[in-house]
Amino acid sequence: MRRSLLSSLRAHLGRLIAACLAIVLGVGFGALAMTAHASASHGIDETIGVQYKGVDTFVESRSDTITPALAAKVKALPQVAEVVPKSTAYLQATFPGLVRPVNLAIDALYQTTQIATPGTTSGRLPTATDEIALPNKLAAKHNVAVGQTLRITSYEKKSWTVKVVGLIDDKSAFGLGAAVATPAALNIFEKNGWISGIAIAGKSGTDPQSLTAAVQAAVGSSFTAMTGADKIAAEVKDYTNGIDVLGGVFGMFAVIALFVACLVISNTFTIVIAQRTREMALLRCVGASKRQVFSSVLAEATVVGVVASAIGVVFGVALSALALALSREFDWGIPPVSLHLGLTSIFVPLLLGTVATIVAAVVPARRATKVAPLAALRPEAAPAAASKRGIVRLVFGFLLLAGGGALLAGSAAQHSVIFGVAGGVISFLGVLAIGSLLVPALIRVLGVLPAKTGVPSRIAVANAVRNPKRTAATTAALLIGVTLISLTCVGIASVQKTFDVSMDAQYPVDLTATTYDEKLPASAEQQLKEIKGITHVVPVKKVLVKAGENQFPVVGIDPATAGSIIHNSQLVADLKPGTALVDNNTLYMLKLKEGDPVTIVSGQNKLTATLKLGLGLEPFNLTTTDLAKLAPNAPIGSYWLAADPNADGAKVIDALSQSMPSVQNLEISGGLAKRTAYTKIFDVLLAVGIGLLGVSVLIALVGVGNTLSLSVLERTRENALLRAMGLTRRQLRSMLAIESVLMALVAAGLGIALGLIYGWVGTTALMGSQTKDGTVEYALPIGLLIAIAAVAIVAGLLASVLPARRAAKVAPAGALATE
Amino acid sequence: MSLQTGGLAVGRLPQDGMPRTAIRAHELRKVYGQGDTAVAALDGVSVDFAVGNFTAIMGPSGSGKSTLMHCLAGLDTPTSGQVLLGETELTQLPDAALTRIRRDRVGFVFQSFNLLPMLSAKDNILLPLELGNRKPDEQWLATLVDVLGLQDRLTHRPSELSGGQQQRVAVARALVGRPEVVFADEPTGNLDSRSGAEVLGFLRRSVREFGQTVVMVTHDPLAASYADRVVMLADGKLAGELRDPKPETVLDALRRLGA
Repeated sequence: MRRSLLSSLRAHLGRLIAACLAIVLGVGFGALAMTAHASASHGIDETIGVQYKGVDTFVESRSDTITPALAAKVKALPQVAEVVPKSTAYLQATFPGLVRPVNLAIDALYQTTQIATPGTTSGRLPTATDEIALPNKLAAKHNVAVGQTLRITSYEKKSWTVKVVGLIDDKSAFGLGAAVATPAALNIFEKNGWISGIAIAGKSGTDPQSLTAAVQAAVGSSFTAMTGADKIAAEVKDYTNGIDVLGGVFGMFAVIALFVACLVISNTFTIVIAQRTREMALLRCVGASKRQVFSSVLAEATVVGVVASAIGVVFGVALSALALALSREFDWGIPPVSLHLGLTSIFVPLLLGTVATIVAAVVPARRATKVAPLAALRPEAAPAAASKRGIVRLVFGFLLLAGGGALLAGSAAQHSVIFGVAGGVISFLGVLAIGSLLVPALIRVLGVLPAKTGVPSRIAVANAVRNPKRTAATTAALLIGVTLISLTCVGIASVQKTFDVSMDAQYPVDLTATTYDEKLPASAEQQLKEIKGITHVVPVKKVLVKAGENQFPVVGIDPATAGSIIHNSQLVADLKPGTALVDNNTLYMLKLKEGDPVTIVSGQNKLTATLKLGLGLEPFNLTTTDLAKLAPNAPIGSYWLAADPNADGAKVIDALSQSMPSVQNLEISGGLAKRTAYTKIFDVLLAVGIGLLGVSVLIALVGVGNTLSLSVLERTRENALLRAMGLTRRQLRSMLAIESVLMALVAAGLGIALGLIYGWVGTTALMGSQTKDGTVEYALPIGLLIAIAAVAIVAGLLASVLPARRAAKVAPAGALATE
Repeated sequence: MSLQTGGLAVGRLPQDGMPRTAIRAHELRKVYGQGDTAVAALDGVSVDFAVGNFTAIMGPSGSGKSTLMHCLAGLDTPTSGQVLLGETELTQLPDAALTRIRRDRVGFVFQSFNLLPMLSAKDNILLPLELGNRKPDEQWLATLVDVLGLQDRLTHRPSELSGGQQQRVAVARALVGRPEVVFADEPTGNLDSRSGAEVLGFLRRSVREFGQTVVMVTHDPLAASYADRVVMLADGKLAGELRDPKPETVLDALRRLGA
């Protein structure tokens, strides 16, 4: 059998390449995910390991504050060689070109021989109290060079001038690190500064375990002593938790990709077997047992699986090396790590890919054993009639669909995510099970339009529904990818919209720039308008008034312009003369409730207004006209701003905090910072999700191409007949393109519809319990969904190119062949 | 071509008394393979087929009869030589032009697998016309359907038709566009003798009554006896011909060829 196996592999190489492609993509993706994850974890291990190099024991606070006295107590132990208290001072630094100072953390730098100290990229580490070393990235951000001086200020408004003597190497650090100064300097900046822990190195010959035990005994139960290795492990765990979650998501997508690959492989093997019916029959005729036929197909699958998986692993590792190199080259805001190849990240995808291929080949292999030896003797039979649909399967499918649907409805009502996931999976399996009924029906419906354009299109539609099971299996692979992508798009858009709405309630104003006891410059409005990303600026007057027993700061907003900066139409509508919008705390202090009249007094002036709850604004809000009645000369206390939703929020906030240099203390608040943060997260999630699921769509398209190739082969005589009857090559190619596009469109349409349902139900289940009244927003990301459909159509066209070329090569005389 | 629905019109004669040629082969050669392994399936065949004539091409297996027909019908390209369909020289035409000729000027009846399984009988009959965006002549279609006895079968799929019915549908399809030549390749090869006789009878009727030109490849002397003329082929060369063949005379001729 071995010789026949090898020769059959050679003979069917072309067809197997298509199956290989699916495996290569699936396995490559898995290897990429695992390698990236391993590299990231390894990078963190190394980075943190370097930070704690030479530390034998580490002391952390449990219920008491760490003091210098405690450090001295540890130092007095006979086994201890070096003690480094990790103390940090939190100050503000005025960098050149900035109007107002920014926060700066400074770590104490101890002279040590055993415990690691930071390295420098230029200059040296500080030795005197007026010297400081800055992290490289921070210095680069603010254009500071070695030799420059900086003004640093403490929160008690004391300030010092320090000289930058060196830049700290922070190439492998995450984010912006802290500056360093001598312990004596730190003592000047912030007396009794906060100590986060004590790093201890033992004398040579001291075992870290016994040292840790001795230290623990010395510091008492208010503190925890742990070995350096344990401390590193704990720190690594803190960091990698996030990465592990990401790794899990990656892994899940890889499994989905592999599952789709399985469908495609199974389909491809079915195709290969179908083509070789006579070959199999001949083998049986010359004495091969069913078992031998079965194992020869499986052996073929094994060879294909191993080879393709190996190529996939190489491909995946190469791709992750490329991605890591690119991320080091261009700053992508992720910690730079080097490629780390683990045995698991190579062998797990290899093994999974091979096993998946073999599993996928079992059903086709069983089918191969059913070929009767007599088939070799019969002239080539006419193409098999439409495959049976399997009543049991259909009934089962409808049951799954009903059950899954009920679970989904329940999850939406109960806000239960687990019900939702279960309902989604079960109902989707139901859709797949009834695919052989559903997909051809949809193709017939969609096919009505092209069928009107002529015979080739009519034949294409008829061809697409001839073999419902195969059509269903082909579209299933694509359906999975499209459904998941649509679900991701719809879900993320809906969650984001829900967030937006609840953010609008909590933070109706994007940004406010407020000063308390200073005067805002006359040109303030103009200056603020000139900041890039600010779309609307509304001045808000403020005055201190008396109402009831207490004094309140009251702001006046012009209802005419309020709509441009308050993202809550209810609030804008409520803001009218005679109404005071207040928050819960103000109501409590007034000892009044909503709807009650309140009398406000400012000097000689009095005003009565009706109280109304209005959250997210100032504690006490009136219209400008009402405020003018109380205090005609009230000054502008703040500006409320609206930002362009597409602008980079962090940049807008940075620019705003550096605006109006004449104001010393400018407080910036509002919802923009939060909105920017979560918008970024959603954008990243969306991009990652689409990118990852795109791989499974790619694999599915290979499958569509494969199925078409089989159809082309099976219909060689039909196509030859059509050519003999006068079908041009171009018509033949467009016939296949229509067939392919119809399948792609049905998969896309069904996938998008399912994605919408799942996305909306998922949003309800996930967010329903998070919002105040259980209402969530349903987004319909039309643009994205149209893009998905367009991609599916284009991909369908592409998938038909190769099979169509092959079909067009069929000689018209083929139909006359009588064998 | 004028439609003659009544009377006998054996080989309509033009004014000068010489039969017009529907299709002509001149010095046709078809060589498969190269060098030592080259085999000439056709080795310099020149033959004319008159308008309104029913010609059978016969010969032993491997004599090149199918290759000759493929070349005549524009399904295959000869290595050298010419094929003239009416005034059109086929051998130099590109694929698209050949396709149009097959669609508009030639009809086919094959031994088996004549019909597309997913189309109804009527759609199968009209396929060549629809491919060329031509409107069928409803009266002519009705006549064909009537003569071929397909009235009750038009909406059926091929799988619901008997072999003889399928072949009659194929004949209707070949004739519906009034092609210049109908080529039939062993049209009775897969039929029982009664159905075969029906199909052959109808092919002959189409020649007698409608003035159709038919070229048929067969190895069955009985089938060949329906033709006006039998052209014998052996080893890729012409090996004689018979006029008004009878089964016995055809058999004799074949024996002389050593078949």
